[in-house]
Amino acid sequence: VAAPTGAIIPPSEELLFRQVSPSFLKVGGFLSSQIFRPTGKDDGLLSVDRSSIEPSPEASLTRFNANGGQSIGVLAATVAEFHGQELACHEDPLHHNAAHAVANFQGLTRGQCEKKSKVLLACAEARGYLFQLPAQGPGEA
Amino acid sequence: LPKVPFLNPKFCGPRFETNAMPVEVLPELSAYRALVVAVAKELYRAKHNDKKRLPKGFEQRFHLEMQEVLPGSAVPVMERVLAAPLQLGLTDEFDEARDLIGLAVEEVAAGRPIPAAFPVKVLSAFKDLGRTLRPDEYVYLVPPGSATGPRFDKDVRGSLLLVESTSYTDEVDIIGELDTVGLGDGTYGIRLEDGRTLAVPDTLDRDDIMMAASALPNLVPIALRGTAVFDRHRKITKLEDVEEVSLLDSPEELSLFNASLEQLAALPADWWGAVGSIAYQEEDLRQLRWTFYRLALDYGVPLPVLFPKEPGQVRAEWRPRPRDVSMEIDLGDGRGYIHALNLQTQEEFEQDNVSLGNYEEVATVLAGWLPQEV
Repeated sequence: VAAPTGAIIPPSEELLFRQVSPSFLKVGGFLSSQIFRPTGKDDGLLSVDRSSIEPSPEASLTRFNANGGQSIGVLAATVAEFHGQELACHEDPLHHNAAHAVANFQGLTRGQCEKKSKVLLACAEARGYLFQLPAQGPGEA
Repeated sequence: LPKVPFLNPKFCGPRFETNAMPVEVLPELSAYRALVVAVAKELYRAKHNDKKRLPKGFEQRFHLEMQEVLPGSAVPVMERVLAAPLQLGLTDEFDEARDLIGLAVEEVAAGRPIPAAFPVKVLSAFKDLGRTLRPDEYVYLVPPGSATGPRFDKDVRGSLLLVESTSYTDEVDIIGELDTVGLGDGTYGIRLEDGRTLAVPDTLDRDDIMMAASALPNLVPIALRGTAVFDRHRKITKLEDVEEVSLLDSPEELSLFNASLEQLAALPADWWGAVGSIAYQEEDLRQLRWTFYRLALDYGVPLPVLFPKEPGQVRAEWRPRPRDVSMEIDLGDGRGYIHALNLQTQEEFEQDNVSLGNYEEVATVLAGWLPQEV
């Protein structure tokens, strides 16, 4: 697994946008803490968008979906909140998304990933959706 | 009057771990006595072909007392009070009946025919023995002077009753889904895991149940305790009597659980978007649904919200704030990883390799982290 090569983003109140997959949202708005954890195919790196580069959560979602993603909303935690969980955030600009960054979960145990993702979801839920697509049917709040 | 040891039945199972006899199990002792008497009468008749009637006071010769309950698990010591000291050292039809009952239990438990000497016409007397036992409970019928004896449980009871009959009744503690429309006659039924719906006999709280059900979403888990008729294949064919009905009546919890299962079922085969993608199998989701019904109704574990994890895995989440609890389940081997976190205190817990089918274990691990609902 390749380690992130971009510079570490210093702790700040900068929001890091995280896209919400419809699979991780249930009727009634119940969200899975998996939103704030890399899946098995992410090499331990959680993709986020930096609000200092792309300040619009709506634009962030639109770009994500235009590139094959499936997001129905945008949540966010700050860089400081990631650092508070001992998760380093690295710059990782892509050719189609200059705001792209990653939070590094590599080398963590299962329990550590669980705890950090649950804390980050609680932070994001307290903040609420920064942008949300209109409900399109059952399962989408 | 002199007393001699007659039987030391050893009751085993969760209810007997405190080395005491629950009062509701005491009918087993009188049922056992009645069985011994019924067998003894037939043994006497077989021995005395020339006598049509039993001697006067035959049954009164058999007086059993429970002296004490010994530990390990619970062993109610049953002694026979002899009518006269002269009987000491002698055996009679009652002693023979005890031994023959033990032999019949042993043979049937081993899958063999009942002993030829056993009077077939009294097999039905087994109907009252073992009725109060639960599926995970059993009794060793330990005769005096022995360390162990044949094991009697619900299966053995059923086998004995099926020797001469095509059905038998037993007390049941079952779960299913409430079916208020399937019968179409204003009554309600319970839909079992195999898809069959059984009519629920009229109960005092029927109107309450129907009213509660009308406010709930579809697929309401229901637990029922009563008496049922079983066929030769040990399948319930009819509910005879119902003592207690309970619904899982949290509409929000039920809605979330049902909706999350529907969403899992609706995921396309390519949902994971990578090699190894596969849609969730209907049978896996059906088992998952019934497992959580059982955990909810029998162990008070709230229904979770289910999420896809990775192909072949499902994630259950509960969020009774400030706690956040999850269980990742491998549908292949039914084992899971439980993680719980208190967001206020940062107290944390994890346990891997928990078997979802071991309800007791799952409930124990989750206890303290989730609100108990029963």
